[in-house]
Amino acid sequence: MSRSQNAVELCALLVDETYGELTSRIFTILLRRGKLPISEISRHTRLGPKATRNGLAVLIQQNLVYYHTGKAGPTFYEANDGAAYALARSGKVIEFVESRYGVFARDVVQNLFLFGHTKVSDLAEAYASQQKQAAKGKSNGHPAANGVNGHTNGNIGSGAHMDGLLVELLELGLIEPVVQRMFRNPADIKDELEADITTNEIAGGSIKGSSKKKEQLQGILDERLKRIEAEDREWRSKVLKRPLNGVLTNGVNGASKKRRLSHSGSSIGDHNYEDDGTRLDPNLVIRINHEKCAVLLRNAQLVEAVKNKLGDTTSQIYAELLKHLEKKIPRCAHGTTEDEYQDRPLVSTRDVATSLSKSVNVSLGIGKTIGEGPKSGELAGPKLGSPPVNRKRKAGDLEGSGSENGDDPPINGNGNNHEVDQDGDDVFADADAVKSPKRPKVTFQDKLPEPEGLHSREDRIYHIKEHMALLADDQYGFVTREADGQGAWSVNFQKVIQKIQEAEIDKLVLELFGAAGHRLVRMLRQLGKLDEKHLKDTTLMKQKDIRTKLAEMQLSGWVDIQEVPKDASRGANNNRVIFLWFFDNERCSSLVLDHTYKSMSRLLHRLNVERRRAKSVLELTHRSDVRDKPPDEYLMPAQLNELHAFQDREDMLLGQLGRLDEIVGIFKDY
Amino acid sequence: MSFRGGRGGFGGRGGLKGATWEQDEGLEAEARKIRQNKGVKIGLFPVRTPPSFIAVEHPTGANVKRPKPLTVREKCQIRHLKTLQEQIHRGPLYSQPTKRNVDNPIKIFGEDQFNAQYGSDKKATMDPFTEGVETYSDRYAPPKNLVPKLSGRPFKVARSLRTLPRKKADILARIDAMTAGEEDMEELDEDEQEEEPVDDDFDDDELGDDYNAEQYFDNGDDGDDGDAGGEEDY
Repeated sequence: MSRSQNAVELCALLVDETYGELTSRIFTILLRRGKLPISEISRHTRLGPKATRNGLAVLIQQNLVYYHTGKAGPTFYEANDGAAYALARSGKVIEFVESRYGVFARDVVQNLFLFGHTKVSDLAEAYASQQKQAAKGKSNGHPAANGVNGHTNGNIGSGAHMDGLLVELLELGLIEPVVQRMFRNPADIKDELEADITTNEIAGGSIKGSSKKKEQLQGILDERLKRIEAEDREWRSKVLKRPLNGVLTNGVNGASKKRRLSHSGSSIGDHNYEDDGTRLDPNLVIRINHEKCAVLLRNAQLVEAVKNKLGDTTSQIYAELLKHLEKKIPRCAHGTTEDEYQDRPLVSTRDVATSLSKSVNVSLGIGKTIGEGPKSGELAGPKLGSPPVNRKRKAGDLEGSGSENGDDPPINGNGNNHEVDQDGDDVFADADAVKSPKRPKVTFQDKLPEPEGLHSREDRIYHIKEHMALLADDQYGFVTREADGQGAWSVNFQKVIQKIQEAEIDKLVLELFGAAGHRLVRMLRQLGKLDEKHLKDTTLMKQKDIRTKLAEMQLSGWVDIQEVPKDASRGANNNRVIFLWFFDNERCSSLVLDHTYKSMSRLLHRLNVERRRAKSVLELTHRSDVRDKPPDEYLMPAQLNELHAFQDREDMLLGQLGRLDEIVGIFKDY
Repeated sequence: MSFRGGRGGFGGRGGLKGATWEQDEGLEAEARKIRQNKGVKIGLFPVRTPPSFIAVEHPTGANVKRPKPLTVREKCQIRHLKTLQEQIHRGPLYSQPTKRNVDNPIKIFGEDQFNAQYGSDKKATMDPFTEGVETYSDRYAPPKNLVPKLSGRPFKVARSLRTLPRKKADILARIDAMTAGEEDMEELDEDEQEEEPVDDDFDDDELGDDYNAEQYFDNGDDGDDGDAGGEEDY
């Protein structure tokens, strides 16, 4: 995979930002030049052997480079740009862990980020020393300047708690045991396996030209890779010292597990990791699994999308559903191959209902007609889904048939055959694609939330089913109904993400080229390649406007033109050539991605400039005697103002970085 | 194909000589306007503005679209990111920048130029009026390690670094003996310590010793950084 210049720059900057200059220099050279042995790195960077070695050690420790020693010859090092990019996401991962598992888990994960891959015993040791410091009355690491919580938790800390937590995180897949294979580039491993199989197992050696042999090779290769992966995941058998009554014996669906899951949704920090006898092998080496982190962040993003599109309650239910699925999804690309698609993870409505926090009032957020009070599901059902009277209904009826959501009207469990509102508006209308659907006569605002406990279990399930139907019938297709009659659901992530990508591109186009450009792009996407004349007729715009707009967009690479000559004398006479305008999602995705990388590295540059400007005051705050005290104790008012001004700017820049990272996620990783 | 106007040149109404395209009247008017009042600032890049806006030149000040304020969750994420970075920066793995010319960066065209920006001798580029005089508070300055330190626990060096030329045979033998996923740190730590440099100002085998001198000054009564360095960083 070739990387763009902007991606290289961004990765180098991120490493520089986190691990300093020396490391970043080595990393940059590796990114620019590919695989290098240590002597070459030295030569290109003009660094001494010791500096190179130490820099590489840091990079390996944080898994930022792969290395491999061939049978003969030197060790080659190779940059792992995925891990470098993941540095930008660390804040998000820590936030996620904190919101789900509490403060203790946050500290553990933070330490893991700090150490790279590390032994369980070392992690415990680090924690113990941290506790000791806390006991001495020091703030431990969190600068109190930011300090909402200078987290001195005296009540936690022994190794047993940590083991319980680590087992939980291992089960989730957020952390993974490190094996030797992970220090090599996965592509290399695959190549080697391929070569091995070709020479040893397939008769005849060369596979060129023979598609049958190629298939055979692919089959064996997949099988082997799967086996290797399965071996790596065998941490249970290796690591467990005393599986007495703990999580492990019960497996994923054990009782204690469920209990934890059930109350982990809403509240923060009330987790007690009681000593349940679980012990991890202290020599087990673990690290953060960035691929899994991407899955978890993707879930968060999807939930956010549902929240914007369908409302809060639905998004909470969707979050619960995704939580059920996430354990079975090791990486974002999971489900793309045929095999994986066949056994894609399913979840039933009942499971969601069981684990959903009781504090979520599921009867909210489903559209009801005005004047209809909250009733039990049986009565509300048939009216609920009645097609809303819509000013654009006619257009919707005409064009809706062509769009993708031609699903049958869903049938719910009670046998009420009702039609849930589809987003069948004018597909080229601008506003409705981005804004949440607002229709007359249907209100999403419930008058008074019902007191808890009024709903029976059946009602609850019924309401959840309604929400599911809402999710399934959305334009984005957030969930997919499975045809096994048990009310099972799956999520086709690729499809949903693609929809979100399109929406994101639409947003950008609207911003850059105005409503006209937006309309043209949507038209081109829906209808494929179009002649200018056709475009004029379909978009109902003036030809002159179309031409300027399209030229403008072509210059910056959003749409392009294809020439189709009618005869052999191509190009000589323009009348004999058909010019077709087209819009390519893939191409725009890479365009957006590249721009995003560029803006991200600009943000980091800017951050450095701001740091230099505020240098005088920052040097003060970094002094070792005062760095853990709140700055208002030792700074003068003017300095304090300066510091706050800088911090505001820093927050803004980093916040923007995080938002751009979401875009990168949508277009690349998710 | 309109060759309007006999003489071309600037300011003429006839448009450019030899131009085969139609002149855009609006563009010309705009160009004239710009030529007339020299004070108009012309941005390097054309600014695209949404049609509903009044045309502005460069998006500065009030014309820049403000991003929406950070949400609570985002603030939390930023806080964690900053904390993590701060801890890494205080830890031994971070290497300080040595770049010269940070304020006026030059254009870099090649690897040699790129490398030349770094690692200059500090004493050669020092400003004697601002940096030369040691002050009392200098002892509180964070340690400047130019090379990451690997000797302190619990940082472990991965195995591959043992595959250095000088020990190659030995190492290859060891790798064969090793089981996957295990790392033996002790031996490597020894290796590291052998090679501790002499040129590093703050070099001690244990980072904690950096500040031991302080206890002398404070009569041992220091509540803040008695055992500073690596240990403090989590």
